[in-house]
Amino acid sequence: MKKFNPNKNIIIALIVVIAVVLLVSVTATQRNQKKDENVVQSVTNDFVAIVDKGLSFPVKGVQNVISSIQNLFNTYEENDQLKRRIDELESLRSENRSYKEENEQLKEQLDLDSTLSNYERITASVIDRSPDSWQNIFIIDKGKADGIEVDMPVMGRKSLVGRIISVNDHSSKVELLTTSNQNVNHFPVMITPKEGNVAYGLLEEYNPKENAFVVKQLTSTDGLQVGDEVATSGLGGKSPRGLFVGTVKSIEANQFGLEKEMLVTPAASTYELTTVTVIKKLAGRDS
Amino acid sequence: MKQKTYFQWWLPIVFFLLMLLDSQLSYVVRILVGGQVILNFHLLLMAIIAASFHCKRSYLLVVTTFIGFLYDNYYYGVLGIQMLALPLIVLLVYWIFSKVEPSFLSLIVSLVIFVTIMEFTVFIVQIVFKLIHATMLNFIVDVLGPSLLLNVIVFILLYYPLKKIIFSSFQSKNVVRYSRS
Repeated sequence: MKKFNPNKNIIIALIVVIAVVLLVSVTATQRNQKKDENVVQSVTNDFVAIVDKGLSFPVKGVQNVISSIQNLFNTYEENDQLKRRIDELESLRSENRSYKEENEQLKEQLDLDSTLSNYERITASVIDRSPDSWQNIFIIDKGKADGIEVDMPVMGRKSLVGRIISVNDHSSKVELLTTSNQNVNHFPVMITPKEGNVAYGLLEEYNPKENAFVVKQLTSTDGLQVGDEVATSGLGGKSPRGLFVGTVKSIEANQFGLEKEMLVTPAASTYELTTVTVIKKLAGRDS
Repeated sequence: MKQKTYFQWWLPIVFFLLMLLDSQLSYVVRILVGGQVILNFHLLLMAIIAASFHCKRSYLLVVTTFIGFLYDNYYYGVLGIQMLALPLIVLLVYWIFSKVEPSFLSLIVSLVIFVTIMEFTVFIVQIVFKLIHATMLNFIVDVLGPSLLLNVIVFILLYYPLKKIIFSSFQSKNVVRYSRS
């Protein structure tokens, strides 16, 4: 009987290992293939999200108090800067209005209902963030019932921050661009230089050391300068044109010397997000 | 015996709420420190340690597997990460406290070991299945070190209530445990 014990433990350990390998690989492929989560998963996720949302209110309250105290310290300087900005804003707004009208008239003339840059916004608030530094997953309080689908781009306050990776009825998961998940989708981007032609590329990964996104497969690097603006290009079907990503930090040859790589500084940090905007593209979506 | 059945009903709910509270607090602290280092709270782990002095091992294994399922499903969408880590920790907790008598110091030292093993299991499972791409050095500097420090401080702050829970039935249970091994 004594001899039987260690064998039994080994068999149990083996079964556990096999079960874990199966579970992880099956669910990970399911997530990567963007299949809908099964009923059990989505119901439990929605239930957990509801409880979590309730729990997040007092925690957020405490956080708001602390951050408002922090804000109080630099209010004076900020106010000064903002006053100066407001003057510029007024002129920009009137300019913008005239452009919009002109744009609409031109579209009517061309019979264009929707272009690559047309999109709908769905505002959602962040419930929780996965306590993990690499996957960088947020949980938001809008889901299939509000029209959210897998692969939609997600905007923070200023710029693109991530994309939807899975959707339940009333909650969904957002994966940030800063993730180190190796199976992510890449955003097609364009770089608009001050003079010259627009260049296109692919936002492939995030470099945590440089705190910058890496853009590869550039169509050209002529005329591109540090500080040029980078935005999504709307090619490839998933994201609309013109979502701001960041500014060019540096352009250099990659380690093989064949291709140019570009580092892009994100427009805003992604660690403090309370509300996000999910972007629904109107034209060119393959359903 | 009556008390025990009562206890078994609300323990999963407490674990569940602590699981959510852990990540909420971690998120807030992460915003406050500026996103550079990651400070993970492990209140759930402390609750598991405290509960291990009151429950059967098999019962706690089932509960933590279930909590692990909820955790993986909710935060990752990939099952089998915390579902493995939590029951492993439970086995370890029972094994260690069948050899070591719980005291202030031994609890702190064992907490350090548990937090390390838990973070490592989660990290290694994700590395093995290529869910993430990260280096060991970054993991130790950015996550493990700060989290260990934080949890030891939290444990010291919570020691008084924890002590009451841990030692309330320890004296009687003590005899049974040591006679078994």
